[in-house]
Formats: sequence, C-alpha cells, structure tokens
Amino acid sequence: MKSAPFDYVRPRTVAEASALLAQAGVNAAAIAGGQSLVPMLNLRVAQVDLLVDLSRLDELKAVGETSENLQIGALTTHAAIEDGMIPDPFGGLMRRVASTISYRAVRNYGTIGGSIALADPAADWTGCLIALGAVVRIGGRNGAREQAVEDFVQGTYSTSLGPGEVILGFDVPRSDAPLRCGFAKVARKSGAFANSIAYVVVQGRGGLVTVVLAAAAPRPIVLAGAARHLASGVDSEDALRAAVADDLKTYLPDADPYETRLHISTVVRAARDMRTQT
Amino acid sequence: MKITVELNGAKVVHDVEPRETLADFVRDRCGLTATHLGCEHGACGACTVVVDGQVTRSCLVLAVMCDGRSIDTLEGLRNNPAMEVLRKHFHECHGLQCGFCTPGMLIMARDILQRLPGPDANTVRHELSGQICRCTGYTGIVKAIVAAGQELARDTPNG
Amino acid sequence: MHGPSGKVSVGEIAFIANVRQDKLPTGMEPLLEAIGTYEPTISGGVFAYGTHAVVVAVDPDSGVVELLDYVVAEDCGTMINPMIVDGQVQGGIAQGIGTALYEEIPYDELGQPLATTFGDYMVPCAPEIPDVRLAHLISPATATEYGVKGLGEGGAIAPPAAIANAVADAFRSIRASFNETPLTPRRVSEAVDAARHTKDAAA
Repeated sequence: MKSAPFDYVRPRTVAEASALLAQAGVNAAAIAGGQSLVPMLNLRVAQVDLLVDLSRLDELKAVGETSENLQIGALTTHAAIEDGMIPDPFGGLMRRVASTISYRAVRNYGTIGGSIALADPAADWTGCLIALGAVVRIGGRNGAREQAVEDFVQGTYSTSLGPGEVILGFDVPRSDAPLRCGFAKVARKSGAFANSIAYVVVQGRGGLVTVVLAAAAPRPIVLAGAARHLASGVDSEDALRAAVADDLKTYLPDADPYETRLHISTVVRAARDMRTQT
Repeated sequence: MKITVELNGAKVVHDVEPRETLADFVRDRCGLTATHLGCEHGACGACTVVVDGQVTRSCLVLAVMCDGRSIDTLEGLRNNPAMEVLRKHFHECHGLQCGFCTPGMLIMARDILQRLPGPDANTVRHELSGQICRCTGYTGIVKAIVAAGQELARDTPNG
Repeated sequence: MHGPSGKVSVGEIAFIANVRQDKLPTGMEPLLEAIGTYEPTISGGVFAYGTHAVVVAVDPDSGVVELLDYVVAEDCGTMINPMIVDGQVQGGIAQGIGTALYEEIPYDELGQPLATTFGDYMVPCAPEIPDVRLAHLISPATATEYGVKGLGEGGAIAPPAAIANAVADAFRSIRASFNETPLTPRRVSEAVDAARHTKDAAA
C-alpha cells in the first residue's frame, strides 16, 4: 500500500506546470487535492515518474460571478462548495451535490477541476456540470481554449485534455428564468462510489429541461426523451418512466433489467426532488 | 526533499521522499503514533489529522504537499478544551471498545462540533460517514459527541 | 489491612508493589497480579438469548433497504458491567447489519477476489446503523459463577434473519423470497421482480 517512487515538483505558474507536464519521455501527472490520485498511487493502479503539484497555483483558485455566468476556479474544493463559500445560483444544487461526495475530510481536499480531469464514471461533478451546461476553460502551451464539459469528458478516465494542458476553471451559465434543480443518487453506502446519479434542471416554467444520468456508463448520458416529457408539462410519473425506459434503450442498450429499473427510479426521484424546489 | 511544517505547535524540518504520505511522516519520522493507519486508501478515517484547521486523511496527502503547513495530530490536541470535553464523554458514554478508530473519531468529532455546534444524533451520524468502527456499533460514539456538543454549547452560548 | 502486628493501607501496599519494590518482603514478586481460572459445573457453554425486531423501508426499483427502527431484547444472565453489555450488543448488531446488507467478498469466474479494499468491501458506517433500542432480561445461569452467560454473539448473528424477514414481509402479497445475504440493492430488486413475474404468469 505504498506508492512506487516518483519525483515531485511544485510549479509557480500555470505556464511552468504546462511545460513540466508536457516533457517528452516523462510520465507526468498533475495533482490537485490528490484524493483519487494518492490512493491510486498507493494501490499502484497508477504509476508516475513525476508529480506536478498544482495545489498552490492562485491562477486556478479564482471564483467570480457575472450576469451571464458563474466562474469556478479548478482548485475549488467540494467542501468550499458544500459550505456555500462560492455563489450557487442554481437553486442550491451544487451545495447539495458537494455534500454527498465521499467524506468531509476528502471534500476538504478534492477539487472540482480534479474531479472533471479524472473523469471517473461514478464522479458527481461531471453529470452535474453537464446538466448545468458548463464550459471548461483549459490552459496549455498554445494558449487557452474552452469546451463544453459534455464534450470534454469522453469516457472512463478519458478527456480531451492534451499533453501539457491544465484545467483552469469552469463557466457555468446563469439562466434568466429561475432554475429548479433535482438530484438523486444511489450508492452502496454513504460516501461510496455511486451506482446511479440523476440530475434534472428546469429553467423557469415551461422552459428548457435537461436530464442527465451519471454513474451508468463510461460518461454521463443526456436523456432527451425524459427531458421532452418533463418539458411537456404532463404530470405523469408513469409517462416519465416510459420516457426514461425509451432513452435507456437508445443510450444504454446493454443495461440489464436491474440497471434499467435502478436508473429509471433515480431519474423519477430526481424529477420529484426538482418539483419540491421552489 | 526538505520540508518544514509546524507540527503540534513546533517547527519541524525533515527530509522526506516525495511518495511519503503525511501519515507515514507523522508516525515514522516524528514518532507520533496516535495517528492510526487502518486502510491506507482513505476509506476508514483512522488516520484523520488536522492540517491548517481542516480535517485531513493523512494517508491521502503527501508530506511534501504539506510543506509550510500547520499540522495537529491527536497528541497536539491533548490540552485542547473541546478535546478534553470530548474525551470525558467518550469515557462516560462508552465511546470506544478496542480503541483503534478512536483517534480519528475524536479528531472528526471536534471538527463536527466546530462546524455544526450542538448537533443532534442524526447530524452526528451523517457527519461520521467514512469513519469506520468495527466494535462499538457507533452508538456510544454518537452519544458522546452529542453530549459533548451540548456541554460545549452550554459553556459558550454565543458560539 | 489489619494484622496481629499492626495495619497497612491498600494504597501503601499498591505503592510498594509497584514503585518501592525494595520494601517488599524477600522473595515476593513485584506488581499486584492475580490469575484464577475455574470451570463451570456444566462446561458445554452457556448462551445468551436474544430477540431482534426491525422495521424496514424498501424501494423495490432501486432495491435500497433502509432500517427505520431496530429493537433487541437480550438475556445474558447477570450483567457484571451493564455499559459493556450494551456496547457488546450494539457492536454485534452493527456487524450483523453489515452481514445482512453490505459485506461480501465475491470472486469472479477466474477466482479473482473482487472486494480487496474498503472501496469494494462495504463496512457500514454510522449513517448505516440505526440507534438500536435495547431491553435486558436477567435470568442468571445456574451453571456459572455469578450467573453470567456468553454475550455479543447474539447481536451479530440475528440481524440477517431479522432484516431478511422484514424485507420479505414488505413483499408478502407477492411472496417474494430473499434467500441470499448480503441483501444488496440488486438482489432485493431482482427478487421483487422475479416474484412479480411469477405472479403475473399465474394470473
């Protein structure tokens, strides 16, 4: 349970970090909170030559708010979000999601940027940020770029992050209409990796609806049929179940009957949760 | 790599390997064995310490990443007022049997009472998520933290 | 201690035995220690009795089981230290709940163990364990010193049966049966689904 040896460096700027991460022939990894990477190193499911410590880069800590969006620095911890240290103009969804991630001591270190960069299929933030339509800001040797989180996360532990690229932060769009957000999660026990997570985001009455299912596949799935049903205003849980079942046939054709029941129930609970939000 | 930390109030300088966890640093380099190692992958909570005021799984943090930080282990909290109250109630409520999880439980308990003063039993149970105890069934631990929270809230009515 | 030639306090004896061992009578071992054993007249073992009752909520789709209330009545004979009796029973119940709902070491078809860390092997934490209510009956054992009986096993052994029966009772109308522990969400949901299909086929 001890990691293999590696070198460690603590760059002072993002540019320096990018250069270190992009060195040819060096298996380098970025570390922020380390709450996933350190156990992976200890269990030796991950092995690196060089660990590049991003945790003290102020460039990655900025949080700001404009009329259009909320900007969240990559190093923002789950605990900071849980405690309301950053604005949450999404009906408290981000605070609630943060509070269910692992355990408090882990939330004190784990960061939203690290979570998205790792792209664990059972992660909480990937689905949440996709549901909120967030964009990830990425810095690298060739300047900065932006990408929708939905496109950035490509599969199990797989993102579009190139050599030397670092997540700077996220822009989460604000809605003119008040948001109503619902969320439901099933895990084997408190703080364990989830087996199913559903997010429902509704913009105003009769506005845009987004439904995202996470922890079900290598990357979160956007459920178009369920969203159409919820947007139709028809208040029928049976019809919602049928819509989710159709979505799952399309997006998750290999799901077994239990997985299908589980994911339908998570989406239904998330929709109920959304209706209880004012 | 040379690191400098404030460990239980005293400045400590040590050479460490980059792969060395904070848990191994405090136990093996500094001889502070109140910090227990149960699982070494962040699932049991026995190794919980305080870094810059925040509860931390010392098995999930590298010692090099704590360079310049302030670390409190259970040894350093011996005379902490909240910890004295907690120890008394852990004793009175049978909050430990074998004692292996107790250092992590005490540090987590103090953190809970700092963040959520005077918590009820349900809050304490929820906040203790991720702290494994194999022999008490948690009942005595939860009771002790609730009782300590009530005593501390009485003594400092304005928080 | 009073004797024919004077008296000495227990404190003094303890002090000499532990600290001023030079003052001990010649040939006397330091420290105060006594070891005694005995065998009860019936040495096959005496057992505690216990009854467990549990109220559960089950989601048939996700298969998640929640424990709403848990009561135990236990008879371990004479209780020497009631606080330790409670602690042993409470701790046993938590382990039994682990057996009933969470803990398992599955293997794949090649014999690879699939639960080798606490990330895979689910040990219940405080949120998973309800505040168990305990009642004690005291029927002293006739075969042992002080009437004591065994203790602790009673807490650990009964929860799988009590919880599985409670879950089965929740689905008695469709006669779903729950015959494998731990009652993982998948197993519970699949048992309910199988019973629903059987009922539909019979209808």
